[in-house]
Amino acid sequence: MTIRISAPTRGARVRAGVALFTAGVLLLPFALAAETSSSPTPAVALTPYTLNWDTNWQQRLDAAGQSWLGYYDQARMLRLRRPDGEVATMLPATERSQAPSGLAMTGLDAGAAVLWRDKFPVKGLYLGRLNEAGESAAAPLKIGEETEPLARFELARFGSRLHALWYGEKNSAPDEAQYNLYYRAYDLESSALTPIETLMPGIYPVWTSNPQGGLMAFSWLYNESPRRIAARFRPAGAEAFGETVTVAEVGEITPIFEAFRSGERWFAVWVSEREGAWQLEGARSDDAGKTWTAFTFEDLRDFDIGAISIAANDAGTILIAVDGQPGRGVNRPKSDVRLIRSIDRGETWSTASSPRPAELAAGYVARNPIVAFGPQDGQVLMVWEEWREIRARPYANLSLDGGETWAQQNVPLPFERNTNLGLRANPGALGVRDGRFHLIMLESPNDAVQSARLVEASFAPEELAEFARLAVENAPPSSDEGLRARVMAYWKAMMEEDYTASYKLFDPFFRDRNEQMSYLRQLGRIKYGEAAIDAVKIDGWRAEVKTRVTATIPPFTAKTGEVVSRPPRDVELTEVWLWMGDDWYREYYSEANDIKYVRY
Amino acid sequence: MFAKKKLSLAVAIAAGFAGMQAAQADSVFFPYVVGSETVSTIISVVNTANGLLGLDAAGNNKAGTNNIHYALIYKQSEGGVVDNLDVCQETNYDLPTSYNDIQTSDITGYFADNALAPFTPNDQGVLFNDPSLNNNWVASGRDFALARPLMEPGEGFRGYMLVDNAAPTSSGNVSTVSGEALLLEYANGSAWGYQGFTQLGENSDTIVAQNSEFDYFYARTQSPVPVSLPPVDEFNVAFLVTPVNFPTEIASVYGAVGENQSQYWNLSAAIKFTSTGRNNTFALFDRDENPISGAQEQVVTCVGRVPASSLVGTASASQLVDGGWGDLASRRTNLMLADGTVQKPGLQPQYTDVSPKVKGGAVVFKHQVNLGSTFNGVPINGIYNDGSLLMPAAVGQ
Repeated sequence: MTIRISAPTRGARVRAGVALFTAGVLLLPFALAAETSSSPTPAVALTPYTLNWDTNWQQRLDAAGQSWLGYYDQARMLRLRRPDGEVATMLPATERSQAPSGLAMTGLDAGAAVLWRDKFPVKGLYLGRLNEAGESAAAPLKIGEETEPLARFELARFGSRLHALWYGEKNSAPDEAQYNLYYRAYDLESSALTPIETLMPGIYPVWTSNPQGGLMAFSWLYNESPRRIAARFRPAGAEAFGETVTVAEVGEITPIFEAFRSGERWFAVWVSEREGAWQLEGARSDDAGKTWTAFTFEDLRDFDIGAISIAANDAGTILIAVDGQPGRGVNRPKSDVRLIRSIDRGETWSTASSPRPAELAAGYVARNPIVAFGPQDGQVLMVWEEWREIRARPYANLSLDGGETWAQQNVPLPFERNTNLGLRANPGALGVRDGRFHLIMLESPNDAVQSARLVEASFAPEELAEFARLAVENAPPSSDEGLRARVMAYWKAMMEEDYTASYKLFDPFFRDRNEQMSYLRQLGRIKYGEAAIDAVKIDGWRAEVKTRVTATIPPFTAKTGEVVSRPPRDVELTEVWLWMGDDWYREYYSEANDIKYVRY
Repeated sequence: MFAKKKLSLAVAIAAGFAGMQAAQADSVFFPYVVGSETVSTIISVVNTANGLLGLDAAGNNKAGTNNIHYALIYKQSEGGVVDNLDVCQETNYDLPTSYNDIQTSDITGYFADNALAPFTPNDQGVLFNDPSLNNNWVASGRDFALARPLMEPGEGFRGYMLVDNAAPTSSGNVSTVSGEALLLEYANGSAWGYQGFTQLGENSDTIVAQNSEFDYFYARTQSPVPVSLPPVDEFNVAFLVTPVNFPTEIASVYGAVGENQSQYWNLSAAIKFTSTGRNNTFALFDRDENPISGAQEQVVTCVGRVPASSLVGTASASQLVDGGWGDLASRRTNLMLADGTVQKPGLQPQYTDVSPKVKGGAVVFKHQVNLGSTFNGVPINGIYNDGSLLMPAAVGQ
């Protein structure tokens, strides 16, 4: 195994999902096998299938560029994958019963530091350190004291100090805020802890840093009237944070609340509620947080953002990728992804544009975008979780001019058949090292999309062209011949009451969550006679089939002995059939409970 | 066949239940009924009033007498989707009953089909071998399956029902008409039900006399009410919302005119996860005690289904993978002024209104269905399909 070092560049970032360009990853064999360029190998597994699809994880590099991967498994145990692939379990000295939650990590000179919260025997924040060999340097240190920490926190390292930011629910007085942000540092050399500093009321600990170790902390002051976002700056080497400065008045926010830096300019962005609509907005400061200038992304007004990823460099290019849905109604368009760009350090911003074809936006979900700068100047990679193929696939756009235009668009990355590959903009999810992108993904082995493992793909920017070529080979059939045969096979099974056969024709998202026996119990009330296909419309991996069937409720005998029935009648149906890579399958939909299992 | 159409607001305001009977009648209110090709609502109505002499040969009330009167206030789906903001329509007519009579009917007619003649004991929507000796429902020729004409392939309806008996005198403080509803999904065999709310005619000692018989303000769900949420990946959770009328006493607090539940088909209310004070300043809490902001309001007119996930922004919902809990509040959003205009938004009820007496504006059920053959990851047999009436507000509040 080859281990190489990725030198951090252009400013560290301590908040999840932002400083992607600093993250290097283990150089593992990648995606294209050496002997045949047309057969990409799947991404390399980092964990077994013992994670939940929505688990908490992140990756950090130590100073030697080695990868440390923290994650929770299905038993809610906090694991740490060492660079050699071995896995350690993070436990406080109390062993079980414990209830760990939350995760923050940072790399050490050799090894990693991990922060987690535990409820047993009392609420605490535990700091664990692993050395180069992956062994615990000491028993986990409890650093939260009496603040009653909850499960959102950050951890960063500058020089010999580890810096922690968290929030806790310690209520010191009836008229004081229930939730507050706290800060504390730990000196790796002296093993000394600084006193806990109460920063501001808040529930979302957000911060960013400069290369010298200056920290800008933000909070939403939920308890004030009017509510506001405020910041406090702690210069590198200072013993305390400066005064609290109002950034903006903000009534209600969602958990989308991020901070970043470009050169000497500090930024915070958040999603607020303005006049009944969600709005992405932010503020910037050129004087280390003394004054703030607000800005708003007007074209994302009423766009309900679910995830965000930010890449910023010291040259003044800022890329903000988001996903979301317009409006807030019960029935609204599916999630799409957008990219906003600035080349003048946030003085002006581009419109929020989707990298996807417009005709796809209405029909298929796209979410969880991640954006990062490439190994060469001007290179930008945007990846997102694309559902146009019914299963989750990572799709990518590559730019060679800082995101102004795309050299490669909508390129599916390699995948293993019958799996779903999900993305999360977690720390270390996408990085650059040795001229290659490294992308960590969640891979579900089936369409239940519940259990998962972490996998990593690496690829050079120029390899996207090959991926695009392969995608053409994997395109669904354009002829409807096979589809018509499958549709008629389904109705033949229904007419013959061969429900075992009809079950097998339903989409695998349904079948992987519902045993055949459960399906069989639902059927038999309605009987079908004739069936005919009126029209077929194939649109990529999805097809709509208009079918006419004759249906009746068979006579049944009431308690009185009377026989009750309904006469046969013709019913016109619009069925949805899905191409799953090997054949067409009927999309399951429970009208009664408004349930589908497909996620596109 | 009922025409599927959306009524304008003006029409809906003007429309009342022309068929409703004398003001002294007792009534029962079923806040949520539903029907489709695979779902039906079974309604049982008990009448304990006497003096209801039945229908004449033409199916009308005999002169000087009253019968039991069913009203279905409904909205139909289009493309399989029922719009929460649609105004309802109404169908109603008299059906025979008699002293101590119980009638159980399937409002979609699925289990009691009158497609075959002659009539059988399972015809006309009437279930369970109900003899026709006293109330003579067979001879009336009337179809108790009020929603049968709404049944179209691929479509369905939601609604609520009001049933009154026009009893000449009430029997003390007990309504002479009562009932239960059972929502049955016959594809899966799953069901849930509830007991209807009852109200007395205005001659009795009612809570709010001036709106009496169809005043169902008291039926509103406590606001806010704590609600638990299961993991989003294993359960499909929604709230079934039916706005309730504001009687004069409550409406006047907001400068509006009093209503009763039978008067309008466009009563609107909103629900929202909201704070209740310094110990709960946020929308929701996850299963690890972390507060989550980002609540958003959803408005329902007449009746509607609100997915739990739609009550917070997408980013907030993504933090509820394992579920959690929140305080769910409701408020009316379209109180009317005497001149027929809608009260200004700022003067409408707010979640922050202090007096518990005026809090709340809707009956809310929590409906949850498991996704797949597991419960907490453990394989189970059958479908978990549960509807729970959330705690009603305390009487007198």
